[in-house]
Amino acid sequence: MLQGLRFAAGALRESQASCQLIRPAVAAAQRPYHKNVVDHYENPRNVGSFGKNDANVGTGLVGAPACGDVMKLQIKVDEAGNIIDSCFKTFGCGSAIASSSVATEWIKGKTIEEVVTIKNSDIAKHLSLPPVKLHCSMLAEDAIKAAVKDIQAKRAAAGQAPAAVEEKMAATA
Amino acid sequence: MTPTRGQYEKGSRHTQRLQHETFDVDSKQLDRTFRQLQTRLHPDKLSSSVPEEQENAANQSAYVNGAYRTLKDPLARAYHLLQRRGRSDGQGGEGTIEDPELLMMVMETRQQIEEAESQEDLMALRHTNEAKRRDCIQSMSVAFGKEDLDLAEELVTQLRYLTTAGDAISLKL
Repeated sequence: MLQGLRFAAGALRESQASCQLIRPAVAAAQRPYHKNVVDHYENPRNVGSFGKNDANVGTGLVGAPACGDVMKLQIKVDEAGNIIDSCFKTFGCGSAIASSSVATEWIKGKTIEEVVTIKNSDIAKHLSLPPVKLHCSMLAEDAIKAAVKDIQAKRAAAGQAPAAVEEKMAATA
Repeated sequence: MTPTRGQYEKGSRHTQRLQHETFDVDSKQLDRTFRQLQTRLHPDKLSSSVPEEQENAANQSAYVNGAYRTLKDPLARAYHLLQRRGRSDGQGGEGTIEDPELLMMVMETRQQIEEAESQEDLMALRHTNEAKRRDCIQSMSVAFGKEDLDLAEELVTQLRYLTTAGDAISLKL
């Protein structure tokens, strides 16, 4: 019986090292959040929602089962493939909220081709995320990609050629 | 490589032992065993003054505490069982999921919790959430009983999200 219990204790210690739901104020006493994280947590940019069914909106909905986080990132894309607006809604720890807030700021004004090159390491570096929170920035990277995939699928289904091809066709007409 | 007879027998015994590890736990029996172990191991109860023995008992007592917490909590217990059966995904993995149905439900629930204002609303949400948790745990018991580990993993993810939602409600109450 004790042998089985030893295995269990080991598993429990490992699980306690992962994501925890703590507010930055409390966390400061235990492990201080970087000021960029606190900034994005207390003044998150672009919290909100666009209409899912809007033809120009791409929605990325991703989750991290390890800590029960869920992240929704949306983009409003013009015909040329530029992201003219973006918003997010994240339920999870401060690092996850901050990562998605940063992501929505960075992608505004870029094209959908450009934003899929944004790496989680860039976000993590900007927020000085500790190793145990790196998966939060990964979640944001995946959310961006999922939103782009969604808008591309919508446009393909609507029978539209990708914007770049369309422009080329118009130029050579 | 063909296992030797000795290896086969050892593997067979290991499998038999695993088969006896069920998800279901007799809660009262668990509490009783825990108390019995602690009575034997608790450092205060040891009359011996040998420091090595006391330290040993203190370590074992800590293991037993951790093991009890793991076995008592259905989610921790499920993760532990999956790990024991070689599912490295025991923690829900490092990965991102994109299950639209599950994540939309999670988003909606978390949003309802966030928007809830009155005590009554929160209690109602807790009631619904607890019912879902009970159903999920019941289904998990069936899945483990059938050794359907794929289903068990899916249910563990669901339970993780239901647990996080429950925590969010408790935080607001």
